[in-house]
Amino acid sequence: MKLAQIAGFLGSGKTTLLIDVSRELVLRGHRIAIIVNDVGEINVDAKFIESYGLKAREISGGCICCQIAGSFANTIAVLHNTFKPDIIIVEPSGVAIPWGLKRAAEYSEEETDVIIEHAPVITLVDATRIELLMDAVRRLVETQIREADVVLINKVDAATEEQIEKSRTMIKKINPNAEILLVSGRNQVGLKEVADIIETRVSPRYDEAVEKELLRKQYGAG
Amino acid sequence: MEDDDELHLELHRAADELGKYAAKMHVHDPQSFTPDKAKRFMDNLLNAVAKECFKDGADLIGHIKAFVTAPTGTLMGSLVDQKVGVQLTSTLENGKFEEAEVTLHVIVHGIWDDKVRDATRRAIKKVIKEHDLELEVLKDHFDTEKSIEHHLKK
Repeated sequence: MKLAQIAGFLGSGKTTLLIDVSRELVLRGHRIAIIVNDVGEINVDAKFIESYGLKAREISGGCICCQIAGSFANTIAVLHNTFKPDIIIVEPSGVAIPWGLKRAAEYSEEETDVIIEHAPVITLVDATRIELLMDAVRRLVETQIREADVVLINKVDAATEEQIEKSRTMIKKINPNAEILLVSGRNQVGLKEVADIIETRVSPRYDEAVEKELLRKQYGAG
Repeated sequence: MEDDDELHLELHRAADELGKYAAKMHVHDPQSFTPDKAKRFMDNLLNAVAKECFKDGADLIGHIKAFVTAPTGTLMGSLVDQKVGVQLTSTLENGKFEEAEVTLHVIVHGIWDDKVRDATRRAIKKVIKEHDLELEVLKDHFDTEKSIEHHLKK
């Protein structure tokens, strides 16, 4: 079973993209389940996603990569045993760290007979608000970009050329290895490409040694 | 794992620079909602919340969104950028309804949860009055720093 993460700061268009990509994958014959981890115990996204006829589960009470990793693993195991999706798409809250989420997802292998495969980690960047975000919540945005395999510059229909180029330069500086795609959730530009990425490509499983080395290089820790 | 924990704590704290408030409410309209009236209510509510939060010191919207569940369908509203305005997605069918459930989520940068709660409650009160509605808060939530508690050394 494949697990795909769609990360990004609040308002970057995660939920809209997640719904459209899920519908595209359903059309391609996949059985899709969605897990959302909103802030606090009152969740708004799961209701919205379900209004599109998609299968959604909400997890609340903390961050799914650490604090409630057990609940996350259990939810994956229960979905596997009952709904039997071949792809689970996760919309983490703004604080989840992708490698932590990979590790938490793999805990589900201890609960049921499932093998987790990871799709490339996707992070959305809102091109129209890039300067504002880098001023206010730089560290959070940088981390989400650093941990991504693919960074989507979203809202290109509304952004200026200058904003798009600024976003691209910033992403390359933070994560030179990331693949960059221009998308527009509103106009569904790039939708099929994102579905292809989730459908056909994989990202490595959690490896503590690799992640520690990454941390040391990126944050100067250790 | 100490380095990981420190990084994780820092990220949670970065996220907790965002003030958060969520509420689940029951709304009653004695004159009945039409789809257009529900949309106007949603637009006014989200803009009023943004205005009150900025008045109290917020400098960036994370997101302000609400989901209305009515007998005739659903309505989602989202405000991220005031220049762009409220984005609405509706499945409301033609026809009137008196009762609806509204879930509201507010995350802004620059003020803490208690201020977001107070600003949001002021905005709700104002918009409810303007639209002649009756409202009951069924459940609400705000918890500054609760999400990083598990990382703090006792």
